[in-house]
Amino acid sequence: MKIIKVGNLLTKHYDEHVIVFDPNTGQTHCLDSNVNEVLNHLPTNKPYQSSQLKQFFMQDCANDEKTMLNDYIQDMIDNLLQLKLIRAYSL
Amino acid sequence: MSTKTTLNSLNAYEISQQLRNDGLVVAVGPFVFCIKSSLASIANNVQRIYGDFQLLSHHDLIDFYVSIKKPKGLRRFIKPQINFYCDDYSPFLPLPASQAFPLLEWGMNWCIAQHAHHHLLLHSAVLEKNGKSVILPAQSGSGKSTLCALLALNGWRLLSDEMALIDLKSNQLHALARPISLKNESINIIQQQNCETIFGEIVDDTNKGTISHLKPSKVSVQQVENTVAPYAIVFPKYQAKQPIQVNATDKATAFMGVIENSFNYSILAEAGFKAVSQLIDSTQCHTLTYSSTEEVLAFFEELAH
Amino acid sequence: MHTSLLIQVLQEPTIIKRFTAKDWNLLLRQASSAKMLARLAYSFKADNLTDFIPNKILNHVNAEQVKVAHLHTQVRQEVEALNQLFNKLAIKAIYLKGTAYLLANLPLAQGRFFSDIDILLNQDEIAKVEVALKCQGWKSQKTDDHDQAYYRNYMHEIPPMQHIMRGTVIDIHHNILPVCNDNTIDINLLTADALKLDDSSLQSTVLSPAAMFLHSAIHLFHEGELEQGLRGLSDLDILLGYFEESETNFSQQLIHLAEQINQQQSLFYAWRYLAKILNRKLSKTAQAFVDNYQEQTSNLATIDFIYTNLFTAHHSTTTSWRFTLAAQLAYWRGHLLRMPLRLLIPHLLKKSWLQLTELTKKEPITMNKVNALDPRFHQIDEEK
Repeated sequence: MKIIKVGNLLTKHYDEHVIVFDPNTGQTHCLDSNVNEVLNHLPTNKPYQSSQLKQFFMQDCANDEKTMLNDYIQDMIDNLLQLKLIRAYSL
Repeated sequence: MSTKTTLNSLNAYEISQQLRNDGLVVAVGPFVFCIKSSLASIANNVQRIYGDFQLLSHHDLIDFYVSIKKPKGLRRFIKPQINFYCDDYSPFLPLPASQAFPLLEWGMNWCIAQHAHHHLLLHSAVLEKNGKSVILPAQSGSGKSTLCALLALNGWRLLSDEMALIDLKSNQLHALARPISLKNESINIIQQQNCETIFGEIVDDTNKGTISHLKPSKVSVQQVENTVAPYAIVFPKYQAKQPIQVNATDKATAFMGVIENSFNYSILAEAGFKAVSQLIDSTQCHTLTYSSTEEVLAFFEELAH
Repeated sequence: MHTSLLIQVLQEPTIIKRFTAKDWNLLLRQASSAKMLARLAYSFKADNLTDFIPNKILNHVNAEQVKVAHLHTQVRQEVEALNQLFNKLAIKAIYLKGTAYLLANLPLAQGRFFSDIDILLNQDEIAKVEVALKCQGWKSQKTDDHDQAYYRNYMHEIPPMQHIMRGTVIDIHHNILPVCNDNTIDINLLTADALKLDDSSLQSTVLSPAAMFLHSAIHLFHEGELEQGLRGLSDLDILLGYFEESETNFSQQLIHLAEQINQQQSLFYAWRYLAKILNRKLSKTAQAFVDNYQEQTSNLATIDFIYTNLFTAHHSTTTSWRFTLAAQLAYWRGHLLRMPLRLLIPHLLKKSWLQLTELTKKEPITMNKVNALDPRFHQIDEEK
């Protein structure tokens, strides 16, 4: 699946959380810093393969960690999709 | 001291005539209201509680034209009721005539909450001592108004018991110094305080008990134009028989807490986000649970030092 | 007659340079009640007059613009979800009125408040859409059997649907005038040149400029309740000004389309009252059409009476006996235009009976009510 981050997000960083304001929906979200790291890695101008995203975060992991991390990142992606901070890209 | 004309310069008859005719024009913090009503209870309460407020005229700019009227038609003979109007528009269902003054107070809050989007508006009490301001954002049932009244009677300047106004340009807090609305046993608690208090009429609300309004101190009203920088945000919660407990709130939680208590955060969009970010950056944030008056006053005393 | 200050300002915005505090107070009240405060701000800005507005008034004006911007964000969200649904069902939907102005990015949208999202669909696809919408949390607003039957049998739309969580209201139309009207419009002629927008990911469809203007005019001059009438006329004013620049020979396009759908009268009224009330200069083509049509019109005195009195701020500072009479005439006229007399009388009787028996106050539905944050609401519940 290809995903793309929505544009013009405003963020405010605190210790373990990031507050994100999305002017497109008018919603404000309080995200875990990890989620924000995933979000930060995505560009807004071009679609990105979700598998590529997972690989980036799993590159230095042991195999048994990988399955867990894979699920974890997938959860984050689903979460971000639901919040409309990223969109599934289709032609 | 200021040489402004106040409502005290009018006698009871003059006040009721102005209310009855073109409307009484009064400055309430940064806003100007024109209040109209032919009800005696409105005239009574206004005279009793708004005496120190600045009197203006129809030659000044006016923000809100508000009135309390009896509805037309047959209903007024069956069960006397009253309506609040903001200009020609009535946003609420009618209430029993005995609640005219509380309805006026709610209506004036409504006007500000609906229109003053050059401020970030929080459902919150705001007080100041030694130049240090505290914002007490809270939902209903937290005891916010009682706490606010206690502080106001113990040397704190009242900015507002119901609404924090944070200027989007200057990030400063504006004051309203409106009367503090109290219910049921809160009225007794405040009356038992060892100081002079002036209340409006005590109104029986058949469903919820009694309600009355505490007159703001003269000093608070005279200083209503002094803005102050936000210093602390305290999320208060009254919990019977519990010792006082104060915890520092992490900033992200405080951010979301402020949003939850805002009247217009979502309408303000980006400007709202920026205002809350700035507010959180510039304040210390705490959660507070308390039951004892002495303990809670001591906590705030220390905060102001 | 007491000419409203609002109209004087719309005709000649520069008069605000000489305004006293009293004038500003009156203008603020009239413009707020006509929901035209943001609109005024827009024209003050266009005329470089913003510096003449006192700060206190400017705060109100800006607040209105903040609300409009917020509404636009909400509407865009709804449209995105609706378009996904229409795509899935392979249905062509055309957005009308306020939503269309916003999506087409017309300058008119900038200062315009509206409460419903209006959509035009093919009549035979409505049932399908209605079911799909209900699955997504939209609920029919009129639950009363008479109202339901009235809408479904005689009207050009189905009862409005409201989202149970978000409170947004959508109005689904299959025509732009009631189907029982003798002068039913062939909707295909109006939608023939509909435009697919490509400015964003939304990909919505709206009417062509001429159809958009004409629809707005038909709507305004068939309306029985003209509380927002002045705003409707001012909408036409801004639309006309914009399309005369962007389109070639816009007047001729309008005349051609009006003849096709047999709505010359609405076009005539639009041009006539834009000139009469808002001082708009008409093109030569438009003026010739107006002069020609005027000669064939018999009851113009009554119509003039109605509209010159009703296109004003509907505010306690502008009422007069003329206004009240004009309002009654317009109400009857609006209904007469919508349905033949044999259907109208039973409908009005039934309607007034239902209103009499209903004791609760009907609250108008607006999109951004701060229900939960209503200060009064908190005060009542506040214990201790």
